[in-house]
Amino acid sequence: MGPLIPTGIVGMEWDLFFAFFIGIAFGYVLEQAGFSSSRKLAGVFYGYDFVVLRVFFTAAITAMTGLLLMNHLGMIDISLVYINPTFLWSAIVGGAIMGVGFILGGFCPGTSVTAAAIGKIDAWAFLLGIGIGILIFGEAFPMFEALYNGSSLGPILVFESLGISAGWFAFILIAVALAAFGITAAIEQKVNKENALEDAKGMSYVLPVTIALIVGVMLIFIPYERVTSIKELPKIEFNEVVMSGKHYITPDEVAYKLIYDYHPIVLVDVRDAADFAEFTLPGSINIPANQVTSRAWQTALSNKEQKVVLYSNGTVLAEKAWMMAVRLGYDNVYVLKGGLNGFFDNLTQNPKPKTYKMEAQSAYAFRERVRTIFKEGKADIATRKQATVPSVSPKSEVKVASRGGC
Amino acid sequence: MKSSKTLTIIVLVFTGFFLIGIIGKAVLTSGYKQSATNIAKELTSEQRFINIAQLHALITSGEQHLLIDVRDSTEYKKGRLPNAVNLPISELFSADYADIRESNISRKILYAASEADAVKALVMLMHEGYPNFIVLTGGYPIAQSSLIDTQNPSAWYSNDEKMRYNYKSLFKVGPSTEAPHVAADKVVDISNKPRGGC
Repeated sequence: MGPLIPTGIVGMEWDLFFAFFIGIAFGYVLEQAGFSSSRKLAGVFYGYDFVVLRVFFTAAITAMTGLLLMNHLGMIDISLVYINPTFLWSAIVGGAIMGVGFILGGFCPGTSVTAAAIGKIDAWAFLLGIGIGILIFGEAFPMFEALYNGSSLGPILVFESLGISAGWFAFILIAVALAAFGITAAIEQKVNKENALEDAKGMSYVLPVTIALIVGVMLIFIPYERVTSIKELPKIEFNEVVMSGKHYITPDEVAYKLIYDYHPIVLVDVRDAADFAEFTLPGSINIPANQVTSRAWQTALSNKEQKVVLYSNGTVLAEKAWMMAVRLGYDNVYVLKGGLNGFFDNLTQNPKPKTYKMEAQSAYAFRERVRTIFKEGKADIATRKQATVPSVSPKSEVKVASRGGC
Repeated sequence: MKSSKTLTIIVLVFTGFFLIGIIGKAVLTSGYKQSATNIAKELTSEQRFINIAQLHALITSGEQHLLIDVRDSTEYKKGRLPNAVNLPISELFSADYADIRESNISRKILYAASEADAVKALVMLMHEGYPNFIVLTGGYPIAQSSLIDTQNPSAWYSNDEKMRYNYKSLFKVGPSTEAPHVAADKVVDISNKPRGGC
């Protein structure tokens, strides 16, 4: 649900609640637009009524404009929008069957439901036919399987195939839609002669058309990219945090965490998955540095109770990931000083302090203990971890958010 | 002439809603010139980095470049790479250094005491939209000792992220084989099956 769920105003579980009311509104509008009348629907093919075409075009450009703008504003997570993969042959054959059925039956599947809801008997018969058709298809599926899965092109997008930006494509589509409105109106006038657009006579469309075109031009300049969040840290604050250098966790603290599980630290390995599989500190989760900005890790990184400690082999990679995390407003994220190399420096070499200061002496003693513990290998360290990790498991994503339908 | 009032109002309301949103976004976020995702991508690729061997090749070939030392001016005065100019990270955006920041040399190479510091400067410059900045990997001390003092190529490919230990053999407790690996996103992948539609 648009701006509410991605920005965290209401939770995911409200999805169905909103869907119910949107569904009611959708059915109402569909009925009011005349989509329950097969005469109106078939009018597109005979040229006397193009309402259906206009509604489809309007729906397409409204949804497109809304998606692009809301994505730009961080109100919607476009990666959750399901893109139907293209199967070329099944699309062609299915499209042909659908066209024949549309003219013969006078409905398309979605509109037949609308018409059935207002009690049209032909629509009920149409729905029954759909049911029988589905049954036959299901039973005979092995026969069609090759065709059904033929020429899979994956989830391709028109503007990507054309090599133009999403904004330009949006502008072109709006222009095409406006042109189509003009042309269809002219055709209607010719075919019907007397009662064309009775209620719209003498209306001026100059203003709406201009505004639609302006929106189209605006879309050209809006960059199309996944926006993670709008709540980024202000640039000045970012620079302050980055320069302050207070974001380091010492290897000692991490060692302490590994031995005493209750120490409030979450370890995050920012190396790529292969390195993570090869070796990682017990209990770590893996967030490759280039995926820090992904929304999938929002829950893990915005941990308030435990320090989130990023580490890589050295310091640099973790530092890069940390900077982007800071920019996105995660304020409890730290970097392991020296990385794994630094951690193992500490394990392998522990110079005896030259002073007798309490601090230096106790640090030395602690490191000696850590060394012996890791050398002997305390198996319970590895097994104990399991309990802590689920609390930082990333937000699960289900990529079935929205799907086609008319 | 009668105008289509309802239509105009609907279109205006939607346009207004998004205009307010766009203005609000411009005001609320402090105008980073590049998105975080983009920067994360560039920082983890090679394109923004140059190692000492490449720098050596660049210097000997005489190609156009500018070495920029982002350490404090006191450290800069003590020693620097040849022909390097000073742009202290604390005064990254001060007017005194505008000519360095805005010079249109195609390779402006940042270095600092450590690579991490140079990356900080790089990110801040990228946030302001300055192009052509790259970072010398390894940092000043390694470059100084291996490139200037000794011409010793052993450290030319030095990389902070190189494993210096065989972690696995040193770390006896290791990750248990059933260490809880948390999958990135529990995606229910049904993308290759056609669905829906009317």
